[in-house]
Amino acid sequence: MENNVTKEFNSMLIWDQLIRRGMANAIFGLSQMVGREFQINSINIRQISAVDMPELLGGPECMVVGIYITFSGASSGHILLAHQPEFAYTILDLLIGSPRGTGKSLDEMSQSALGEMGNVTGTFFLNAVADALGVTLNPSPPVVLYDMAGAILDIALAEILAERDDVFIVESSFGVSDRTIQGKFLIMPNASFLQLPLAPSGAKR
Amino acid sequence: MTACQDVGQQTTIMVGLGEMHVSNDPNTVLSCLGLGSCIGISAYDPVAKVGAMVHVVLPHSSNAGSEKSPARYADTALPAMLREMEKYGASRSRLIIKIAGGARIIDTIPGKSALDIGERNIEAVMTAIEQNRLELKAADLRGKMGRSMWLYIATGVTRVRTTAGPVVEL
Repeated sequence: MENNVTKEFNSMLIWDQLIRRGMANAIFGLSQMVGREFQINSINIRQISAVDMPELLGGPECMVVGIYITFSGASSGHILLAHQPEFAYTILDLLIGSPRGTGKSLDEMSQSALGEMGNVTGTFFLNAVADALGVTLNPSPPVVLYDMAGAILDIALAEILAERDDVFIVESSFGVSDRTIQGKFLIMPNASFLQLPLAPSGAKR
Repeated sequence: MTACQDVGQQTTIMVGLGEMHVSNDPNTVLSCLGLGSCIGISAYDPVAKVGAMVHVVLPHSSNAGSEKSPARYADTALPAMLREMEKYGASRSRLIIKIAGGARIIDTIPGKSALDIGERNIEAVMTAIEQNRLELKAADLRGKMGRSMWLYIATGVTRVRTTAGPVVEL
């Protein structure tokens, strides 16, 4: 009989596979949107104290450009793509097809482009996970923010801290061949996410 | 975990999400950085020269967890803060209370009443101040931008900065 430790380990392995599948699909969607091949440089799945979250983005006062999405349906949670401004401008140049170094501000068009990027990556990620689990996960419209990391994270952390102290997060960085884009693709599900039944429709044990 | 940073003779202590810190060290500056919907509460007794800062995240402790983290909730934070300050010789009747935060960083995601958390935090903190018979001296609340807040234990001065704005005395 499986003991609890083995069950938990197996469960985390399945979640790890699911998240990686979701991230691969998100990056595939981004590549299609931009017309260039993006690669995932790293994926790090872990559980950390919610109090330590702002440090992930450079500290609570660090100015970041955040693309924020919530999801609902079979479970709920938050997705935040966070970049320091210079990397957000690099993304904008890629999205708009401008020469490197063109993007220097977050005007309305830039915000719309970044929002669409969040929409595509968030939706592709959620679709891959939802399809594998045989459930429905609906993304909200994206919101683009430029503010202190702590202030942006407050939105998600207030909801998460109402349930528990730790946050299950997925960090990822990605880029194209000639440009490195450092940033965080943070997935912060609410507690119910890890209780979703690991259905056999793709997420096989 | 409360983080510290030494700047010259002064030590800045960062009061993180749901944390509280009390000090009577004149070389200490207490800070709440990157407040969004959260509320920073600063309290100072000018006679005992004792100060406290609390980083409130949620309005009510009904969802449990308040025993472990009383500073996380508006309704349990102030009583916990008063108990700690009294241990340092502070008197409730002398306390100068100032608050900042409660912003509405996002208001465009439909069906998410939780996004009004800033306003609910403000209401809960105001109620707690009244219930604990404290007097609010100053406040910098609401808006759509983040804030940082500092309390200088040596002088009792509280300063606030809104995102990309200047540091001003509260």
